[in-house]
Amino acid sequence: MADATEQKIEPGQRPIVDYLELPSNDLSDAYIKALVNKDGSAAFLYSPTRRFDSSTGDLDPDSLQPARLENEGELWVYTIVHQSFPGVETPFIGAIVDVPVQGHPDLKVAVRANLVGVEPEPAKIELGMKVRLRARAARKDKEGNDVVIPEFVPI
Amino acid sequence: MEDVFVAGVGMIKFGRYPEETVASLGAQAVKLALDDAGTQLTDVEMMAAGNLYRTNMVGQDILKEIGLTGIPVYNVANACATGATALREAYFAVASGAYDIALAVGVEQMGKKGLLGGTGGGDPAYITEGVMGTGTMPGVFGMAGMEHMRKYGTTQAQFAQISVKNHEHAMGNPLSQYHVQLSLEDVLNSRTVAYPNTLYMCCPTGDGAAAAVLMNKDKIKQYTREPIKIAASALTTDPYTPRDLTFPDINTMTRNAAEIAYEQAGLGPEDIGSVELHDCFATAELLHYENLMLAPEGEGGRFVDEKLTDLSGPQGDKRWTPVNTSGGLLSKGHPLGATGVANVCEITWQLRGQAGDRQVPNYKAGMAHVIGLGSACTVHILTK
Repeated sequence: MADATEQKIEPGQRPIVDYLELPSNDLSDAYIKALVNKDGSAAFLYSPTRRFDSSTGDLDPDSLQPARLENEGELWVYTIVHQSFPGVETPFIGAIVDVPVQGHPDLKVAVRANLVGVEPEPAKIELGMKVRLRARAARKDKEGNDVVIPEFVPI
Repeated sequence: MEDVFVAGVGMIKFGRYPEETVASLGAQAVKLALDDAGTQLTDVEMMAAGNLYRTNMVGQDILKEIGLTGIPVYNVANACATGATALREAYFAVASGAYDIALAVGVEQMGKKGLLGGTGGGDPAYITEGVMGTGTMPGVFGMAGMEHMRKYGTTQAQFAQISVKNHEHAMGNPLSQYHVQLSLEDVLNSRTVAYPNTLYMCCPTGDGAAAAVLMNKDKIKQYTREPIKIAASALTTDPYTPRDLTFPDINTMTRNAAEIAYEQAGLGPEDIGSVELHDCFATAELLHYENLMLAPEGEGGRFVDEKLTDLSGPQGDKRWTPVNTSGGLLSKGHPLGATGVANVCEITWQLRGQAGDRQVPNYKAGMAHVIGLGSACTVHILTK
């Protein structure tokens, strides 16, 4: 009888972070998972280890409910990084994007990601611009999986 | 709570000392502070040691260099607020009445470690830096500056002018890591690290140590007739704000710490003669003008334009409050664990009238501020 741990797992797609959900092989289906507190006043990027609502200190085990973010958001701030760690390709636009929680139009979660599809020049980047989530297989990991990253492109 | 006084301070010139150790750097600063206080290590009853990169048993290793007196030692790590948190531990050791004399030391040996951060271990395919924005400090503080640009129309040149000012201030401080005068063009034309921060708008890394001897009221009378009082010691962390877990909020905890400190000291911003604040990046300094209530909300840029935080600024203007007379982190340097204690050294020298070419006239109270991302903020107010 085969041990489950010996089963060979075929390489596939893996999200770079836990909160990027890949429901199918079609990366246009990708979305960002969140957790919303009881009264809908705060939301967090999903993490398998986040159990409680740290916005209020509510330690009820049911203090957070799963949710997903919309696929469109608004650029809050950015920086254009020209110097980073060895191996990191520069320049790139590091952005903070405010993204609404689906079903909670007034509740937003800040997402850190690259802004792509626009030149890394301050004059070309407009604060408050509308952007859309795009998931892309950017690298291979040591097991041969495609590592999928979330990034934002101007609408 | 008993009143607590600064009896002695000392710091070594910040720089690069690859031939030294963390303990030997710390030992030099302790020696300077003890001599300044006119006291002996055998009189010290407790020690709080701040160090970020090594963290474990640094205080004890310093005692192995200078004297194993068997006193209790607390080792403290709190990001860039490490040194100031050690000082606060020593402060409470005296304020509580448990000890008459306490020693705080902050020390760091960073070498040329760049960007004030790391990428972590694991499969490199899952490193997010560069493909999911940036967590490097120049980038994070660049975005913090960008938020101010977005809200108030602040310009990159206004941020850059702060670097010009702090490098100019450093020319009067022999303990500064760098002594380089820069023009606004020099700063703006240096290579961009993380827009809007150019190279000269980023603090250097380096090695350094600073120490302070604290005493209660009865003890300090035996050493000086002009005691420097720690009139306030505030430590805060982030309260919940909506973006904070993604985009560190460096403002709210600083505002909260400033409010607590002003109330403890019974003073207001108008009473403060100068401020040593956490200018790890030029963008950060401008935000803290407002966070520490030196400037009204949104007017940090105007404060720069009017040179209200510049030693060479309008002394007759009641808003004039020189900031980072030491040269600040941007020029004096930022050996992480040492910075919080070094800021208190500068304020002490200002209060005593020992600040030489960078002395602020008619000085009665000063403020020392640091923040560490992750997050921690301390504000100390010293008076005479």
